[in-house]
Amino acid sequence: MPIILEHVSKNFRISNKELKVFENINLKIEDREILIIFGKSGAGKSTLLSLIGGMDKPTGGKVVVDGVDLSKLKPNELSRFRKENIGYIFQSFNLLGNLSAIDNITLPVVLDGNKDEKIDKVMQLAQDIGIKERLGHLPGELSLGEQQRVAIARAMINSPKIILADEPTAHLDNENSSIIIEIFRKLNRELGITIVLVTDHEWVASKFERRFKLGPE
Amino acid sequence: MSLLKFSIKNILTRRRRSIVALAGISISIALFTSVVLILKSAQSAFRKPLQEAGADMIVQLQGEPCVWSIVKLPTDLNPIPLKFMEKIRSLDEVIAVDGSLITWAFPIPSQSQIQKIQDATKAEKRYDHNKDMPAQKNGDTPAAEPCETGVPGSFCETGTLAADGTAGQSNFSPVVVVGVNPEPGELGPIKRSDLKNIHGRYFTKEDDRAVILDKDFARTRNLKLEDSIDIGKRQDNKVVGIIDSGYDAKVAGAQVFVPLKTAIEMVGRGEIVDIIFIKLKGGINTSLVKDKIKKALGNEFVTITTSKDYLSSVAGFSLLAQGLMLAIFFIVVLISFLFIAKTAFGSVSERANEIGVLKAVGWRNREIIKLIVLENSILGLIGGFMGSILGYLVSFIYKINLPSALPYYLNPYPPCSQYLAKTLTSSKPEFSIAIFLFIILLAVVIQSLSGMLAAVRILKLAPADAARRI
Repeated sequence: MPIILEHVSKNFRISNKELKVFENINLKIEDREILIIFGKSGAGKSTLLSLIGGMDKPTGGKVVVDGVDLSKLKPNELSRFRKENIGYIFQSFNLLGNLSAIDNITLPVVLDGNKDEKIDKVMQLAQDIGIKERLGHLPGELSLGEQQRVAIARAMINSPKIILADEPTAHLDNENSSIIIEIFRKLNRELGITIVLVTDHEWVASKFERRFKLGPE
Repeated sequence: MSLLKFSIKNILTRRRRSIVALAGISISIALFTSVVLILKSAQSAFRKPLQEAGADMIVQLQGEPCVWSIVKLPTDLNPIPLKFMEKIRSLDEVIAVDGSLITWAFPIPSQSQIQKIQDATKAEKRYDHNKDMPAQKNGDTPAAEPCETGVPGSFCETGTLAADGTAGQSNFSPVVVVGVNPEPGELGPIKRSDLKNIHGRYFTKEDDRAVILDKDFARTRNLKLEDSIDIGKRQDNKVVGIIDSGYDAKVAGAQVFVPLKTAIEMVGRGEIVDIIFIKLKGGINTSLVKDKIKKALGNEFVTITTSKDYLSSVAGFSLLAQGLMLAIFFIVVLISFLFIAKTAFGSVSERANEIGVLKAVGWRNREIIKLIVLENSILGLIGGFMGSILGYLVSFIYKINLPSALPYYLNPYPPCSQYLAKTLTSSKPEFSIAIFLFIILLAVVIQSLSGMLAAVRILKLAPADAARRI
């Protein structure tokens, strides 16, 4: 699913002052591609990712995903679009602390019905990313690496065409980071998912071919 | 998983937050419930005397009775001819009418006592009761019956015996004797439903020298069934029943009940009563009926009392007090509801991050609002239930016992009596299912609305912003 950013800019208004995050970003991400957005802290990487995921609106320009201009969708249409097409992985995982790993994973589809089908899918996912034994645990009882894998499984539950991951290795050591990177590669390779990763680690960025650097050189 | 199951799971798994919310709702609802029930009990307590007499209205005539009779009408009450009851009964708005005769019966003094009293009072001007009788407007106005004079039965008015010291009050203490209908209906001091409280029996039409004693009076005088008691000049009246009239003040409460015809004979002023009980049809404008009755009786000295009159003025429950109670009620309501609203609003606002995540993973706004409303409705339901029970317990512990005397003319006791009129008016908190459900519904509505408002506010944020909030 291709993603096109045309003249995208984003400002924040803080205490009546306009804060420019970035401007005139033009970017095209091809279908089944892995793109790394990297740059220094505060460069606006997470903001750019949230614009791609329809989680925020650009101040200027437009974000087009699979031919759909996200700025023209109403909030509920955006929610539906996200649910059907995008898996979002937050920087700090954003797992709900009161729900077990399996409940967190099924959160996007909890109201959809087809329980058995979903359980099968969760089990398969959990098997693939190595958290099958930890599904009944609360997030607080899991390691950071396991929590990140639960977040990936949650992003995958709806078989999205795009995965947006905001600094997925930020809290992980190198070993766990390598495991997570390999999971993303596998998802891209085997399922053809378009993946956009945000990172400020040169080491992580260097693992992928296409990189988009945000902020000053 | 259904939304309901997910809501319940959320409530159960976020135990601390749920307990805080439930505590907030319960306390607020308990406060609200207890104030509502206590105020309602207070109102019921004031309405109780007339309700217990089965009456919506009570009619009396003001005036000055025969001062010197052995058995006389209470001070300030005038006789009402029985035919007046027929006039009232003929009004369209009236369902039922009954009358009683409240009297004070003094003991007969000995010759030496009479002499002492006459000596003590001979300097005083003899009271001419006829002079102060109500103005007569037509032939139906009760005529001033000639009183039995020359017998110093009314020691309350002379006020000399206490100073005299030779004859204490107890020797001449009058007894409150009330003549009642020997065929009890739904109105009056003894109704059909009160018969179960009588130990012994009620009157029959043939009874002449039969009396029913108030339980407290019987105990004080050490009287039992089949004993005899003298009332005024009538001796050897047989105790046929003892009635337990409870601790509360009653309209026309008596120490001794006699059949109406006996009381009429004792007073000796013709076919009269001095208190008329009226039951009205539902939804009738009492002011209109009052005017009709006054017109029918043609007497400006008619006193008509309704529960509302009693509540607003007679019981000393002034407009100011009512206003204050109303103000307190509204303040309590406001505080309770604001507290519930703040608890719900704060609780949901703390979940901005969670709501942001739900949006990010594809939940639609209406699904999120449904979840929040459902969770808060469940909390409101449980908290409302717990709060109502707590409020009921508080109001029950704080059971109303209002030391409020009935107005003198509804329960006239002679000031020189050795017995005191019952003054307590109590009322248990009435916890109707309707109130219970209403309060719970209120808790649910306020809690869920407040939660919904907080959720709507958060949903206005971009999911990215909401999800960043902790």
